[in-house]
Amino acid sequence: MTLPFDLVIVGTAVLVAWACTLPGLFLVLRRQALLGDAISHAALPGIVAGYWLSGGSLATLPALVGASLSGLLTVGLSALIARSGRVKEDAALGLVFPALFAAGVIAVSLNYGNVHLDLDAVLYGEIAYTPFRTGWLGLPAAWVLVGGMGLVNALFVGGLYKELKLSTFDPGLARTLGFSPRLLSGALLTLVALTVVAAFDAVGAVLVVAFLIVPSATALLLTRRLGTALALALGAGLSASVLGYVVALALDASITGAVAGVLGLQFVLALAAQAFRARRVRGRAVLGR
Amino acid sequence: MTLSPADFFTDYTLRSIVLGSALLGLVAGTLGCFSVLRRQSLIGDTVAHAALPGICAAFLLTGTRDTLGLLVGGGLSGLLASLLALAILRYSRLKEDVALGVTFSTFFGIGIALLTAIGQSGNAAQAGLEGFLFGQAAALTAGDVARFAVLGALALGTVAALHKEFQISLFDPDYAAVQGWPVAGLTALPTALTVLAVMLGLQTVGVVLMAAMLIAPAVAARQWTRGLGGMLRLAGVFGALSGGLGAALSLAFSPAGGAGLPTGAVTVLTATALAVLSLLLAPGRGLLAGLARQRRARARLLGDLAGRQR
Repeated sequence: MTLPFDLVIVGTAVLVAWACTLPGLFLVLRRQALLGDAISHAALPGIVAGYWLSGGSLATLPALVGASLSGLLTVGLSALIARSGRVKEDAALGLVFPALFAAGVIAVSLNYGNVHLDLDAVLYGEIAYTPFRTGWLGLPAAWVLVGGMGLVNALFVGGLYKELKLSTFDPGLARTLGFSPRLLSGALLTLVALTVVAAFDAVGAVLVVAFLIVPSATALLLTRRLGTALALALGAGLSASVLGYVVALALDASITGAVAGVLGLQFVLALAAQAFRARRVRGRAVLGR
Repeated sequence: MTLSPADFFTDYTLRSIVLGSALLGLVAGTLGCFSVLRRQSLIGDTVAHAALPGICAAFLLTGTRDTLGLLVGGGLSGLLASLLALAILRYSRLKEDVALGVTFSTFFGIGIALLTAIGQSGNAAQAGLEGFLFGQAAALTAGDVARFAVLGALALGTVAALHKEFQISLFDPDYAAVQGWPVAGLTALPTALTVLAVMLGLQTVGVVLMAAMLIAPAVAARQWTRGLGGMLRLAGVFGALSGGLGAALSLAFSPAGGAGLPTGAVTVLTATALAVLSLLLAPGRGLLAGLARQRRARARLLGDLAGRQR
């Protein structure tokens, strides 16, 4: 079975968008929006280790396992540092991921100076190549991997929706009611690390980081209700994938870059709409109506 | 090559690299205090990524890979991104991390799109444009060092001159606004200086590692002092130390003829080590001091309880 290239590429982008948005919305609400960026950079030493342990074959699986493990290490270490109370979350993250990245850079330059194991190969995965890699049941490999991850995320968010909502907005109450916000948060962050790694193999880190944050941020500008925000964010990811692909074809530019650009444009429009509405509401309040 | 400490004073190249990295560390460390205290630690990462579309645009406009032009273009788009992030914070309920994340991921995406569009145009001069983002301390010349010194003095001089204004608008913006100070400007100015520092660092340590040069010295300095002035000075010293030491270490351990240790990465690991040691060992705020305090308090409490029972 061969699917049309257009369908495979846009389909991959939409699947990545949805797989990322499900946990991404909660990251945005929990002030952990930059976690995706951190994980994608900190994955480097894990990729190098996977490469080394698998005896130097450029196999995807060991690299993915290594990347997931160093992603989890990033999450765990920065949480540990932040919990010491000496450093805020953002600074803790900013201490951990550059250090891991630096270690990876050193490992690459010492051992693999002349092997093609650089950032381009891993972080800038190219969505235009997805039609050429076939996975299970003749479906594109990216669909299987990212779609599977998206399904797991959907089950997690769908099954624990109330619990996630409560522990995001009121962790104290969640603890009092007897379920552990820390356990839930650990599960969420684990899913984020796995999703980031699965998706950047398909579309590159740039788009993964954008999809984790931007659709959710856009949606939260337009509504204060969590369910509505989730629906809007999924819609924003869908429209940006389709529009971005069209723009990329027209300009003969990177699909990844164009989709990220469209996401940014949608956000700016939402911000302008929100600012306009806020001004009108204020104006009405002044008039006393 | 084998190095003796004396080489650092006589060898022109070595001196440029070590001095340049130390200067960069001094400026980045000092300015990083503002972003860390404002919960915008990752603004360095943001600016460094957001520079890409500006670098591409500068290349499209000038048609050459002239370093200064690219730096100015990158600096302008980095500045635009950071001002956009400040605007998002001002005009919406979104938090610092989201504001930074939205701007840098979309700017970087647009940059990638531009870069590929330039690549398709078959312009040979674009080769290596992205290499600009990864940084190469070995390419530093005495001229770069002089430029660092002038721009760094400008940045640090501004911080010294407006110290009081920055301090109040950082810790109590409402009070500063009531006093009639231009809070938006006083918030944007340190950010603009940070953009300057990032653009200086881009050539030396590269995009990702620049984030660490802003954060780690500030985190380390915060452990040893309570005042902003002391923190700024100490972070500058820690930054300079990491820059100089990191560059010297990477040069000293580079095998002859080999690729060698990347200076940026070694510098970042040095800064991180300083931060971790400070987190553990500092008196007062250090984790070990905290543990010792806890243990003493527990012993005192148990002693009191035992005394009461008798």
